[in-house]
Amino acid sequence: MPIPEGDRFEQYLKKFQPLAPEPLPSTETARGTHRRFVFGAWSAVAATIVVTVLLLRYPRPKSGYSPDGSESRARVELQGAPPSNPQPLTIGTANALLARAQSTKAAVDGVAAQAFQSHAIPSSAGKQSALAVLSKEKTKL
Amino acid sequence: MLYCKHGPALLLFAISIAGEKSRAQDAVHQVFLKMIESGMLTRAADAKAYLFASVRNALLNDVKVRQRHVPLESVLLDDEAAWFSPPDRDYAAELSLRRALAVLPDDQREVTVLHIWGELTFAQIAEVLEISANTAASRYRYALAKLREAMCSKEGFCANS
Repeated sequence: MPIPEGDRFEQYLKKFQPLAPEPLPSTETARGTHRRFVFGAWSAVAATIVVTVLLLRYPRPKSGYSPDGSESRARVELQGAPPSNPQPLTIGTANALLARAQSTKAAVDGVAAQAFQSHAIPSSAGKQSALAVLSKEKTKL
Repeated sequence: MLYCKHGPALLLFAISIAGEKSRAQDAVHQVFLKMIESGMLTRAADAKAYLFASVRNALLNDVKVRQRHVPLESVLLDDEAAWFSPPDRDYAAELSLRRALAVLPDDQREVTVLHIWGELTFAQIAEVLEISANTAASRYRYALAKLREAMCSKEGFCANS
């Protein structure tokens, strides 16, 4: 392209458009990121404190195998059955165990554990063991 | 809005001072972010001139720019990045203009960029560079003559025009 003279040269130079700079970094984004980071950090600290306090106040019971079957008792205790105050297995307690249990397997385990415990416990007056009643029944197949 | 309008000329002005596109880019960003945070631009009487003066001050405060021992001309010529989008995709003319600008004295290059691409009047240029308007106009005339001479001798087109 021929280069013009005088004022036209100035006009010619103006046809060269300076390149645009890169987009301006957003200040709001930077502030938002910083705010989220601070909030996340404080949340993590608070959660750690809460978990530590809970662990100190309510330590986990030690579970281990013992030949007298206390391990299975401990498992049943965790699943909701109160072994400290064992009751004979009745239809009511079985229903309660089924209702509280987290899964069918847990419910069956809980009922079985309580049934074996209830052998040693004499049933109170006016109450009958469900296992005893069921064992007396003659089912015809 | 101001960034879209004046950003390209401000970047070119910053390159003409710093010699490096990345440093120039940083200076322009720095000025705009400071303006947004402080809201100082709304108080300035001449926002456009204020922006150019701020970019210039930001670069002159940059220690690395002040302590540069290599002549700006060689820095500008070493940088391969284009400064302009040329008319009719005439990239040879873009390179020729870039080289012609690079060999100008610093004060003349600043005035030329401010007047042609910054579209500042000589009074505004005088305010930005803290010189008289007559001095600005004089530097511009010298610069324009040199630019024309440099581009004509390289391209060999002047005889036709």
